[in-house]
Amino acid sequence: MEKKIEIEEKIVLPGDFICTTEEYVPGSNTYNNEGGICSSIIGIVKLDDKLHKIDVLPLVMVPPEIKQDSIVLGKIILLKNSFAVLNIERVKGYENRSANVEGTIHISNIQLTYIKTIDKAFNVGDIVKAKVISNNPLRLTTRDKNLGVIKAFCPVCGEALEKKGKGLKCSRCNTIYQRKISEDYGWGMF
Amino acid sequence: MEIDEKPERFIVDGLRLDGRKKDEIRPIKMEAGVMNRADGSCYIEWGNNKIIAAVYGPREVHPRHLQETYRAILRYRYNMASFAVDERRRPGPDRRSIEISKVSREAIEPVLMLEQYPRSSIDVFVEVLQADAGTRAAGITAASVALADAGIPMRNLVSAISVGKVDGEVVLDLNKIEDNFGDADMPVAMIVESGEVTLLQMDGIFTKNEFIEAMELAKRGCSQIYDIQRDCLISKYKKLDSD
Repeated sequence: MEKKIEIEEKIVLPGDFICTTEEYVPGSNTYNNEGGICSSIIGIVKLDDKLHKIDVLPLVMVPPEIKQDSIVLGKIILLKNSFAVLNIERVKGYENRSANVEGTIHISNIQLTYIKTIDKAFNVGDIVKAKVISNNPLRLTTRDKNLGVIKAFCPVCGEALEKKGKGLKCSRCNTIYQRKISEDYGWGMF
Repeated sequence: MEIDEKPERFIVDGLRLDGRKKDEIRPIKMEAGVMNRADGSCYIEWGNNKIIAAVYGPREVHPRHLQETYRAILRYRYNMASFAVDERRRPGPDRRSIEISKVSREAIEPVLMLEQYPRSSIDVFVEVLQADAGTRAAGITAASVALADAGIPMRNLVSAISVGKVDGEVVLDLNKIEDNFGDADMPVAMIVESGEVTLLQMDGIFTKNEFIEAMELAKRGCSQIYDIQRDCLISKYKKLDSD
């Protein structure tokens, strides 16, 4: 018999019986109910005959899942001596749904080189792209070329800052600020 | 239908005042995903009831001390608009709506897999725009569809309906006159596929046999509601799937 992956046409709803546990192993978005595998979400059934696994591919927008190595986007809401707090708004892969959780970036995880004070890297209101180190507690890092501030505004006049060399420059008041800038600064790419 | 006094008889020639049979439910219109800013939502028109339910989350819990380490918390707010009833209602939560919020939350909670989202909250808002008896049942029905629309993992959908007694007979899905002047009113919420009852309240008096009959009727009513909930969700996602 040929072993293959099959996707069924029919839409399943939460609680719909899919098959018994003897036939397949429950995969994502399913749960075990008295020997039967049921769907826990609105979606379509994917049967994997190779792994004998059943997944439900969601048709709904599922809540974002933040795990290790997830890329997140948010706003700096607080600066302390040794860390910054980021209010995570979006998670990569779940762009249409807001996450709204808080994570911290420790000063040692901002960049590879030494940094004297945290305000040399971030300021309150900066929009930062970061990567998740651990989920409980939620710790983040920007130790990569494409991670860091992707948009910032002048604390004096509110103008959007422009990238100038290694720093950021305000075109209106000509002040230069030091930040941990991402390669994608001002580019709008997630 | 404007009747302020108790009618002489509720059932004439086997038909109720609004022309329904004893085991007939009012017409229901349900639509999922009606609100842009909510993660999931549902609008329901059940007879003259008009209710909108919105779901937000899982999201961070504020105030922080309410959060639980190993599971999400469910918050349910049932609120009736000041214009929802004939005489203007004082806006804001009152004794009645606080109670309904609590029992409705407990009716929905058993189907949610809250343990998958630790330290977060799932917020359900149920706004009654027009009330005509059976709003808590309609609210639970709509909230359950809204939660499924929000993509929150659930074991099943919850369906709810009310049964009551008028003229000494057990009837399904009371309307306003029957509710105000009838002898008993019993909202029931259940998980239709497993037959588990998640909400059972009673106002008035049923005899033992009447209670058994009422539960049977409620079971049949809930399975009709369940079919409507399924149709509502499938029609929405079939459209999305084919696009």
